[in-house]
Amino acid sequence: MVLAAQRPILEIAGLNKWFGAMHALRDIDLSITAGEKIVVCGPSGSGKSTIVRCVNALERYQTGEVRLEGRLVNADCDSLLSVRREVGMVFQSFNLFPHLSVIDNVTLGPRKLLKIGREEAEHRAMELLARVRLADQARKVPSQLSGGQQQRVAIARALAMRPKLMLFDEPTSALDPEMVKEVLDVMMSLAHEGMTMICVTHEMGFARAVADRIVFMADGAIQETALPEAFFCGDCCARARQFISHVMKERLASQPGEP
Amino acid sequence: MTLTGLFSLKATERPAAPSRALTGRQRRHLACQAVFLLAIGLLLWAAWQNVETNLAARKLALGFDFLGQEAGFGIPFTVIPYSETDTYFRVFLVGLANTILVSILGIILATILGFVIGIARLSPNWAVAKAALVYVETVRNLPLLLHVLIWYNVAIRSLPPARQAIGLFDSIFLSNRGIVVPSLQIGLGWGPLALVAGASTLSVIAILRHARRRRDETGQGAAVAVPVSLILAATSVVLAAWGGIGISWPALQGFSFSGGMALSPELAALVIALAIYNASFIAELVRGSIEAIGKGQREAAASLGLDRAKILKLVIIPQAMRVLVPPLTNQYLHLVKASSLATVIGYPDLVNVFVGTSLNQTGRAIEIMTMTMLVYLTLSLIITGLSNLYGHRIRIVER
Amino acid sequence: MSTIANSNPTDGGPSRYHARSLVIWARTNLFARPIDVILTSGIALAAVALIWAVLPWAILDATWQGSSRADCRPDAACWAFIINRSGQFIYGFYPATERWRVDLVFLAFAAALLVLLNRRLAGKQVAAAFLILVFPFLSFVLLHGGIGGLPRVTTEKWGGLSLTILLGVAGIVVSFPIAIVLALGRQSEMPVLRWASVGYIEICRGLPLIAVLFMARILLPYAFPPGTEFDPLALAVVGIILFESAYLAEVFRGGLQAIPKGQAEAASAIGFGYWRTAIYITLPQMLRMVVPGIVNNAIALLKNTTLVVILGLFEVLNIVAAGAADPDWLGLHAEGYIFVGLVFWTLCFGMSRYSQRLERDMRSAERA
Repeated sequence: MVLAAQRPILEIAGLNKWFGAMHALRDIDLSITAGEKIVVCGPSGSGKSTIVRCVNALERYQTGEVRLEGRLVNADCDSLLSVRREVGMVFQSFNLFPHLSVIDNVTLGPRKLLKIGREEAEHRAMELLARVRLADQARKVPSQLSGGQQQRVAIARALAMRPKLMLFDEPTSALDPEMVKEVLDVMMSLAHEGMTMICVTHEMGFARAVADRIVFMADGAIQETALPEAFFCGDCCARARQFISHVMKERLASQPGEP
Repeated sequence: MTLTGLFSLKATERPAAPSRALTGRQRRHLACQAVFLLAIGLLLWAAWQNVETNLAARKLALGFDFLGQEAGFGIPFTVIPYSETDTYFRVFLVGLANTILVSILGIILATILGFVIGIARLSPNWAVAKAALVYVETVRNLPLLLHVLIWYNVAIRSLPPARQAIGLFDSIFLSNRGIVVPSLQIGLGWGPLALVAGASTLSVIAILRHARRRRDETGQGAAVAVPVSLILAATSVVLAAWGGIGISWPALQGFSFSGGMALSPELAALVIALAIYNASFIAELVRGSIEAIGKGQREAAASLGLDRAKILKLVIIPQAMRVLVPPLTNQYLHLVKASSLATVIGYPDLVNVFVGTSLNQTGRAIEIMTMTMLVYLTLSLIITGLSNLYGHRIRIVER
Repeated sequence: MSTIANSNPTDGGPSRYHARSLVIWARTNLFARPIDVILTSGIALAAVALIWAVLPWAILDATWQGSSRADCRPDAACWAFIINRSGQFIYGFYPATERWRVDLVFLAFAAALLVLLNRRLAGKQVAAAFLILVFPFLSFVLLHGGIGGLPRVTTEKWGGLSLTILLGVAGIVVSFPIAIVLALGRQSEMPVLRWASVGYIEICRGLPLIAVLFMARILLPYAFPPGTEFDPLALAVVGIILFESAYLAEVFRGGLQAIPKGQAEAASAIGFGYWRTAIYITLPQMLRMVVPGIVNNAIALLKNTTLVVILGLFEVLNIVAAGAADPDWLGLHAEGYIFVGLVFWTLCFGMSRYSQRLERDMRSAERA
């Protein structure tokens, strides 16, 4: 494979995590090269969110290691803050700052961390907001926006730090069905521009369209890593097949109009 | 029986067409209110008749002329100058100033203590969190009066006499005669002092604002430490050269202290008890306001790469403050009102010297009670007003 | 690169976790950062020092029996004082042979309260009616006596903890109906009623309880015909009721506002008028919602009743002061305060736990 020749931007090796007595992640090995898009899927409670949260050390892990461009990432390391600056994260529940306007949400990081002046930061923020098609909402506060709009602001906020890697933690599962598409469109265009991405999502259409690899998880372990063609053609383990058909059925049930 | 009134039926039940004639419901409302007014009026009139008879029986007339009379009693502790020959109005002001002193000291200490303990309640350190919990649960479940009495009758009385006072850093002395602390001596009069202090404060503010604007516009910090310390140095030189300002350090002389400011046992016990008691409530408010901010906010801020201090300053505190401020001002109001417990241990607050001694001597119950009520209502209006102003400002910022 | 499935549930994991769990727990919760090491050991030291200082004084060296301070060790607690005076601490100067009457009143109150608050017991309406309509009069007759062969016990003999609790109970029970009327008035469409309620509530809440007590004590007698006799206890109760009904009214208003508008609209849709809507729809819902608020108010009131000492009533803190001024027991404030503190702490902590549990239950019931 061509990608395997490059040095990976992110390496996860032998990662184990326990929540109390619950073994949440079991010996996870995963690496991603620049420009690669990985979709992580699996039933709920399988540990897929926990992986991305370990990547920028929102969760502690007990054994194994996570390395971003060779630097160790864990909750106690000195480089934690610089790692987080280089990794963008989009949450399931948006987590915009309600006391700041849309543009202040986007410029907070650049101004306070990258020490960019207000004018330049706002200029760049407006470009990003235009990219997520929200330039006209810049002066509103988050509570005045719809869920889909809020999530797009959250993406712009993460992009404002010019991250090397973007993490998406179920970005569409808290949205009403009609808003899912506007967020997926933004993510897709981001993917086409060459952003390195790890997406935890159940959106199989998105996975098929952009993923270079699909990682299927269950019970805290990676059960299957496959190319999308192979994954969707049923060339995978029984649990993954069962999961795919289950997700597809749910999609059909929630959106009867879609083919 | 359709005396429809409340529960917001207003909008749905209003007559569709505007008409001059009153509907049956409106007529009933009018009648009802008229009966109510009449009953209250009768009650007040009857009470007033009794008041007049009672006043006549005691050979008293209503009026505030007594405020000009000489009070003739001493007050052991005063913030503003007072002597026995001063008038009752002066007594009123002395009591008010004493109440305000206790309230301000109590509010400052309770706020500091309350914030520390409230944040400790959320500490990731189990021992710290549990210690804070024990403090809160112990303190707030005891009556405030018990706190006051314990500090007054037990804690301060068991301190050594003045001659063996416990000294902290040779500047604060604890003894059963109270607490002595260093005090500020101002020799050049308030006018020039205010001028110098005002000028230096304004220039410090200007420097800080300039630095902040620069940081905003260019992202680069401006040096503030050097100019600010220069200004402060210059200010102290000017004041010292003017012979204006100094610190008076307490020192033991014979059986008592000279210099410094002495807080009487009553004042000390009251302030300590008010601070400790109210801190337990403020701690819970602080904890609640921080907990009200979802975990997601912290995570989102952390994922941008903000450190703990910046997360607190930029994301947590601004949001917590809007949750915190209304109940916090309410707590301050409680504290101001509770300072009237001073009466029980004999600290000369407004209730003690005015409702107590002055009323006893003059018998002017109605006038004195009215004035006292107005003071407390005004204080609560001021505090509530400030809180509303803050809430209003936040709402504008939000828009 | 296809499958990387090397998860083996038996290798290490949970068992390893359990074996080291205590050490891990201590490391993450007590000694995570250098500052935590300092804080944790500082707190541990302070706790040990406190126990070291208090335990000998309060228990090991303390004196439990004796007839005066002279029997007690001078450097330790003299609980003999409390034990000797326990009757006074609890009943004030109520005659020893008549103290069963006080017990009976509290027993009746506790029984009614139990029926009212325990979800499994029936007869809530009866208990509520008893508490509000019968109990105040019954307890007064029982405590005061003078009829039906009961010897008369005048109110200046009432005192101690039982007086404190009695004032708290009377404050809540009598304020209850007044507060409901005030809360309804504050929400009324009729401006005169609304402004009268708002004025009353805001004035009483703006004043310290001490000022309200002085008002009841000093101003109220002026409004009655000359020569009217006033019982100091009755004036204290009036002051407490004036004060408490305003606070309780605000609790009720909060409850009324929390009821969805649809409830009143639905009631008027089936033809209910104002009073029917209030009695059958809004008030029952509101009352269920405000129980935690009432309990929190009762806690505050119970602590506040200690303030009647300024009216010269022999409330329990005054009994302590009187006891500690007795030459036999001179200066034993600390022991008295600790005893009173333990009683108050137990009552208030218990009530606050109850109200917290209730709030939790209500929240989870809402979610379900």
